[in-house]
Amino acid sequence: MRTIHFDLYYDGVKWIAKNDRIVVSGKTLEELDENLKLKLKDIFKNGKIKVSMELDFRKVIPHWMWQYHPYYFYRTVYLDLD
Amino acid sequence: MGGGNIAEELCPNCGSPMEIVKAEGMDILRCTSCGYERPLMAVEPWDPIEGKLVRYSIIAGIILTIVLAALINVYILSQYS
Amino acid sequence: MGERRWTKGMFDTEDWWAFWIGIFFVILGLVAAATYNVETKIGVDLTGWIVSFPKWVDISKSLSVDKYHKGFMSGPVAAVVSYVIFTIATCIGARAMKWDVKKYFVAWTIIYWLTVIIYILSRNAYIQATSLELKKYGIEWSLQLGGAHYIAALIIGLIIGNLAPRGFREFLRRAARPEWYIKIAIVCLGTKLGLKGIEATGYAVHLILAGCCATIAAYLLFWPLAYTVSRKVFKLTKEWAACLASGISICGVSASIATAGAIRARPIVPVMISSLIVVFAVIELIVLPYVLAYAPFWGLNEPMAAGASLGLTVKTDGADAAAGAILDELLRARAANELGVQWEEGWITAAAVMTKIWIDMFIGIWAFVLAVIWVYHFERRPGERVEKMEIWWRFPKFVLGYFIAMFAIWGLGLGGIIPTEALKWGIHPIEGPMRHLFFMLTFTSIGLVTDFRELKKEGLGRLAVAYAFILVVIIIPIGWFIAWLFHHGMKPPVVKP
Repeated sequence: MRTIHFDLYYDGVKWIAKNDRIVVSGKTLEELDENLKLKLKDIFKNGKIKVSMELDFRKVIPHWMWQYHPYYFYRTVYLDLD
Repeated sequence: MGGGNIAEELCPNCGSPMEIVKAEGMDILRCTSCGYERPLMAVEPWDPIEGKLVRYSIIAGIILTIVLAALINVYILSQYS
Repeated sequence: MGERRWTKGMFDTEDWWAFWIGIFFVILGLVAAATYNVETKIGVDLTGWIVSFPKWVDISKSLSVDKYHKGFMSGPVAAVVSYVIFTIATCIGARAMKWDVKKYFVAWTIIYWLTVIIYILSRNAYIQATSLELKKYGIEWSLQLGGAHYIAALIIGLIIGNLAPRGFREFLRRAARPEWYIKIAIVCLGTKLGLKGIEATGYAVHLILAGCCATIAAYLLFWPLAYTVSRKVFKLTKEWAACLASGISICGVSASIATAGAIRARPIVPVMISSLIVVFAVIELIVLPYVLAYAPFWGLNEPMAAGASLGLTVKTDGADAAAGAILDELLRARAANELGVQWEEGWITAAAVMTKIWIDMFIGIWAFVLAVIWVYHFERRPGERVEKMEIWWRFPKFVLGYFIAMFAIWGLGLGGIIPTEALKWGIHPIEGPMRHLFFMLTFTSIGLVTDFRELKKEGLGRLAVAYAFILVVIIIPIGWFIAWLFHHGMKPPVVKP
């Protein structure tokens, strides 16, 4: 199965998944996943893809909180492009 | 602490930072530029799955409290009384 | 950024750097112990340089070294050597974490020497000597304020953190890292259970097991009750209620962030809740030790249960360990003054820390459970899977250091590989003076980072009321009951004459 990685951000309004080639966003994670599926279908046409998205805690949690818990979340989504 | 470093929400209208203010007793997010507002916390109805989560946790908690307390009291704390 | 590995963060998070620094000094102690000859009483002294702060009447005796290393170097020299070595250690960590090391170094230097001065002044025997110690110090009276050095560090930290010019206090906060310092101190505390475990393995194991069971029981009762009150009484949404329930009923800021991440909440949620948690934790740190030390049911009757209750009710590692340390001092002073008994130092603290450590360990599992419920039932995003590795990624790594230190000493001591006397010689400076110094740095730092003005911020009103209500009505009463249920009758070991 193909695997693709993204950095994930939240800019206060929408979630953004980004790597060297692709940038996709959505107001909710569901919308993000839908938009991602459409974009990947354009590129790969069909098949199953494992998408991993890492939200860097440093980008969303203020510095004073890093010492408490240095992790936010890491999403794994399996998309069926067929 | 970070001296006020609350994560900022951006206005979906114009992209400016939003500030938290009180209006009619409720906390709302208001855009500093265009005045767009939305509730900070909307009201959500209670979901049956929440009821299950709470119920099963409490039942498990009560059962485990009784069982573990019995074990600890019999095998450990009895030596200290 | 590729797929997340299990080693991620190993060299660039404070959690891991608490492990590395703590374990490094524990290893130094073990190497020293391995070289110690029990007959000649000589070994390679790798830990005797750590400065100690005894009670004093003559200020020239206010600085010293560990009791097993008397004569290795003078107290003032040890204070400077300790500063140099701990500065190098923490600056290496700061560099690896990509902080501004120059600014960290300056802020750390100010905090370190401020803490040392506070420590020296507040250890005066007229302030801290117990009634059993008056003769030893040649004095006729004392205020008998056990733990005064911790409170002094906290108060001075709070004064600077709330009243000093903004630029200065923001600058100092670069090195005011209470969670980092307390995690290093907790790794050192692991050696205490290690050493004591050799002499009284049963007691140490009992404390570990009792703490584990108390935590499991508390978790499963605290969280659903806090969640239900948040949702039904205070009308918070699921997102806010889950993070608040975790923060207030499990382990504070880390639980709030862990839960927010697990349920994919907006980052503003854990940030706002965490602002409250930190302030309330300091209030609890100031109030609860005195309530527990002097309340008729607790106090001298149930010292270990009182310590354990702090682990269940004070919601950050730093504030919990700090509260445990204050309670330890208060109760030992009371026992000496009123019962004529000298309890061993550090056991009440260990009870407070032990329950907190189990809580810290289980947060990964609870966050995993919540992630499964949210991803597969509430939010139902097709195709999304919750990785079991989340449990590891959320696991507090400094706890590994605590248990490694403990089990290493048990293994070497009980296995007869290194004699107990040698282990005490090598490890005691880590278990005693180093741990106490990092506790003091934690107290100063907690004061520096706690800004009571946070409570006035907009948006926190309803959350603050919910927090206070749940804490006072649910967490503290149930926490006290569970701590008593699993620890009643246990008393700290008595100092051997």
